[in-house]
Amino acid sequence: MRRVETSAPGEAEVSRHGDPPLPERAPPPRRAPSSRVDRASEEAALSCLNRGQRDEALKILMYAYGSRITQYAARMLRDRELAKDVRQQVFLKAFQQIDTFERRGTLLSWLCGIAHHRCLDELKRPATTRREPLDTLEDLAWDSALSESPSRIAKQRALERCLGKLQPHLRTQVLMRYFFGLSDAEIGELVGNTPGAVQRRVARILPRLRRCLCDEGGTR
Amino acid sequence: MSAAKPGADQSADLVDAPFLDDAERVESEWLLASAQDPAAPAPSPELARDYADLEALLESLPAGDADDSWHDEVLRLAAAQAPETAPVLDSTHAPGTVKLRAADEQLGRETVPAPTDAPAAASERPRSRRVRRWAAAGALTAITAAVVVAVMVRPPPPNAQSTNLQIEIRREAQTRGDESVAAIGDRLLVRARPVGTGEVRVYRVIGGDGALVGRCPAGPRCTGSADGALALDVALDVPAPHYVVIFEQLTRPLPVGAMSEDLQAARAMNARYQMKQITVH
Repeated sequence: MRRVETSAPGEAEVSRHGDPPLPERAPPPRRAPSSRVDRASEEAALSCLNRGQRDEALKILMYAYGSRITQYAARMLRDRELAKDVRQQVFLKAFQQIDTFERRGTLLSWLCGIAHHRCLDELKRPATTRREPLDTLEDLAWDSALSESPSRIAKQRALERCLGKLQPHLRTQVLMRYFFGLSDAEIGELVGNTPGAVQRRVARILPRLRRCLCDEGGTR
Repeated sequence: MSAAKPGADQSADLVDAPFLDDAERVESEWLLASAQDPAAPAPSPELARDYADLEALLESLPAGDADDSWHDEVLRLAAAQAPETAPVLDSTHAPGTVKLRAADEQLGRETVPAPTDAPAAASERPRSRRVRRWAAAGALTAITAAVVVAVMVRPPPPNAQSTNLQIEIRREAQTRGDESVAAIGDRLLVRARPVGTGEVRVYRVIGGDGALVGRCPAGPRCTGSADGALALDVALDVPAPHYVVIFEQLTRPLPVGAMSEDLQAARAMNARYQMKQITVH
């Protein structure tokens, strides 16, 4: 019979059936999502810009943020081929306009803004053959998920389905917050809202996502 | 998307939409409160755990594999779209008034048309007026040329690339053609001759910033010669972007911190630096 540590060291607690009770997991306090800013690459890119080496800066940004921008566009557009086109447009536009980058924020946030607007432009077009079936997009949980547990993969796929069901203007804010780790102020600036409005919107989206996950079997 | 009918969320803006039920309202209010104060009490521990799981799942959405196969195409298109900066001969102007677009745009000036472009009626104008036009055109061209020369020979900015600095990157087993890409197991050999007091450093990008993995002259696997040349040998054993940074004209020792901090310190002392990115697959 195994002894289980309780809050009082030395005390033992044993369940009625002889098995140790599962320790109660304390709810963690909510915290802001982790920033995805690659500081070294941002420094390097800005250094290149200072020397007038825009093409070098572009290379650095593509290495640092290319994958994330692609996945963001794929999740927004639900079309991986279109996402690749948008990725190219984003970095070309960045190359053309990088001299206008005001160094108040991060290059990640700036690129995210370009990607956001490019995706909205694409979504305004008539949907012809653009949208992929949601099932194929579940594979957004693809390659890097190979090392995950089956239950984790199932949850990620359910989450991809639920994200796909959100309206694009809501989905983009979820992605900006959690996938790019932008602050409410940064998101507000990109979508033309106050930080408070962003918080209110996220506070409305998350309960819907949670219920959707329950329905999809992604959570308990 | 709702509890009753997932995917049925058609509201223009969810913020203004009615709550599906009291439970959703309570959850939303708690989420909003906890955005201001993370310690705001949750409706229940189970709910707090559910949201912690959901937010962790959202944060860990796969970002995709590194794929640089598309970079060259973007660079090619970017190069094709790059604005012209070199002086351009404008064919609408005679050789005597070659228009230097870049310089003119920079100065916000217009170039006086060449006499050959003047309408035929100009020949009927008084001679003194034509002489004044020629003189004005010549003077303006001379001023423009002088400004262009001044722009071309002005000293480089503090971080401009140094011409007497050479960076050589080699791999032990086999020299690769592309010096910006390496494989695990390669060795990075950096040779540099910094101007003034200098240092070579190699950083590996980890967790969003560069961590120092090699430095010269004050580090292992570093050799220095009497003429100031430095050689640093670094094993590339982690698949991550690396940066080779050469600092020059240091007026005080650099800190040993994250790459962003070191670059900031270099800028603070007006030191110069160059960097090169190497991707290790």
